[in-house]
Amino acid sequence: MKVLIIEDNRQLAESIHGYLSRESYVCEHGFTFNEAMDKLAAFSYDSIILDIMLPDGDGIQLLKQIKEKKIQSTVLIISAKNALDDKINGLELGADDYLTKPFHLSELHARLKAIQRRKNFNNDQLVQFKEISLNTQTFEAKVNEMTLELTKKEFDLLLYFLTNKNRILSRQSIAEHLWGDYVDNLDNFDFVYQHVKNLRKKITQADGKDYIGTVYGVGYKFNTNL
Amino acid sequence: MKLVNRFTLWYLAITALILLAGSVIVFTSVQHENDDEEARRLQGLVQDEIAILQGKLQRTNKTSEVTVSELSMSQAERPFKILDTVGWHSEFQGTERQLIGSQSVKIDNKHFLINAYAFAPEPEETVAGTIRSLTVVFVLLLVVVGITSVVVSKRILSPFHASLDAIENFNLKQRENLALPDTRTEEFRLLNSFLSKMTSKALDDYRTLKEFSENASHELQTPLAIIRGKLELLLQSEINDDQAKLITSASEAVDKLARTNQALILLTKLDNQEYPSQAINLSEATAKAILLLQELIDMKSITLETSITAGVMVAIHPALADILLMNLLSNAIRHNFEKGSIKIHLTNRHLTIENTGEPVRIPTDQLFVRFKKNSQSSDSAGLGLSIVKRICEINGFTINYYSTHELHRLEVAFA
Repeated sequence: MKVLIIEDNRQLAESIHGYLSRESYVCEHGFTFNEAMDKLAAFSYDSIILDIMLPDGDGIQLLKQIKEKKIQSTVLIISAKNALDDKINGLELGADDYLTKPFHLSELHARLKAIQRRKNFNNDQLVQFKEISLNTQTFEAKVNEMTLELTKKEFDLLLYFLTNKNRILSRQSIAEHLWGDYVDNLDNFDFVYQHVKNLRKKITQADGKDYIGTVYGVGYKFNTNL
Repeated sequence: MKLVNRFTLWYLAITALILLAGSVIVFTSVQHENDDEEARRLQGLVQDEIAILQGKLQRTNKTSEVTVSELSMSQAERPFKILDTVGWHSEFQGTERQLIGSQSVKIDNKHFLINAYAFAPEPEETVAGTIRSLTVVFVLLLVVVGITSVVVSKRILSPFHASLDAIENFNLKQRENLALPDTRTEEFRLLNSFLSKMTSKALDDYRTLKEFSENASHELQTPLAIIRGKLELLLQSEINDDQAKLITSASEAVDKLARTNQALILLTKLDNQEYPSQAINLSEATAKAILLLQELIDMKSITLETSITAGVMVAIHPALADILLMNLLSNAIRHNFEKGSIKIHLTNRHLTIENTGEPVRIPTDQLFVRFKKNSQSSDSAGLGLSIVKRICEINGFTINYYSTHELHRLEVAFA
């Protein structure tokens, strides 16, 4: 999958690049408004990661141009602004999602995937890994063709693991993924532990392998090499 | 004391002094004029008598005011002079002040002494008259000045009072320039132009400060995102467990920093009044918030009791309503005991959230102050309640906290 990262901060762009290239994404950078416009004119991308605060132009303007030129890429806005109107503005202009800085790279990746699934409406609703399969449209989870009774949060959690396989997912990143903005109201990460524990139990009860390993004091990791 | 009264008092005091000095002048000049006039008349009488004695004039009528006596020829002629003495006044049966005009002439080897007598007003009488008339003048002044000072001062000072009112109602947060009335009075014009300059400067500074804190907060977001990203990449590299833990604690600190920063941005935005209110169904919003936090309530085995009136409409920005509810509810959960209880009560008038929990150790009026928290070790930034308070303020709600030992009650009263 080809991604254009439009972000004026090189360090941040490289971090995103570093994380995504491990997931076999092909990433290119546009550090400025004009550079991004040039790239968009010359190549086509599956996804665009767009910072709406650029030194030589407003990212919102760029978004308008993308939509005017009917460029088919999905757009994920990343912004330092948490302003609600910005969010609404960006989404109204046709952005597919909005992520506020600072974000977890695993979250960024999960969002990109989710957008991609939504776009490829017909064929790609199924996320499959060995005996586990998730239907992101019906929220149905199956292990060995046996339906799991998962809560919405457990489903989200499993999908998050499957999107970020073989990555250490910190408790905070899981908490933020499941709880969004409200995570700062939470004292500890006990509930993350609870959810992971329940999820593991449900998978193993359906004779699935226990792919989710604990990284002590850090978080969890979905190991594919069992 | 009012300015106009001070002016009036000073004016009257000075007037009284001048009137006092004036009365001395009036007295002496009246006395002097009187005596002069009397002296001239007496001199006239003496001259007439001399003329009669010299046979130049026919005596028309004899007056008792003039006496003629003879002196010895050896004495020298005395020129006319006035003597100020006291004489017996037969009509008044008492002594009165008397002026005597006296002159001696030698006519035909005879030496005559002519004395002319006249009673004159005593100084005390003049003084009394002077004081009486000046007192009347002073009382008249008092009344007129008193009345005019009240009436005129209202007119003259009206621009000043208008300026005072304008300053009183001036609020930096409203970001409006001071509206001052026009005036023709030089001092007030100066005052107003000074006030205008000062307030617009204050507004400018306030704006700059706000912009600065807003920009600073925003500028922090990108470096925070970089740190977070790099730490995450580091976590995915070949590291041992100890390194992973170090990275995790660093990354948790970054998270806390990011959240504090976001809370500060929110507070700035609240101050900037960037959230217009609209009528929203608070009953639904409350139910939604409870649903979102239900898991946490269950995890702590907290008993939840709700009584929510359906269809409570409140004017507030929907996002702020969510923040308000989430902050209040999560506070009630966080500061609760295991197996504690929470009561949520929503009516058309207020929202009350009551929860069990450790007694509050800081003074309750400091609960809403930024960065104040019950225990300094707690992970929260201590901004939750100040955000709640600010949201209440800009929407015209009042928030009150009551606590009895281990029971805490927060009550938001809608306007």
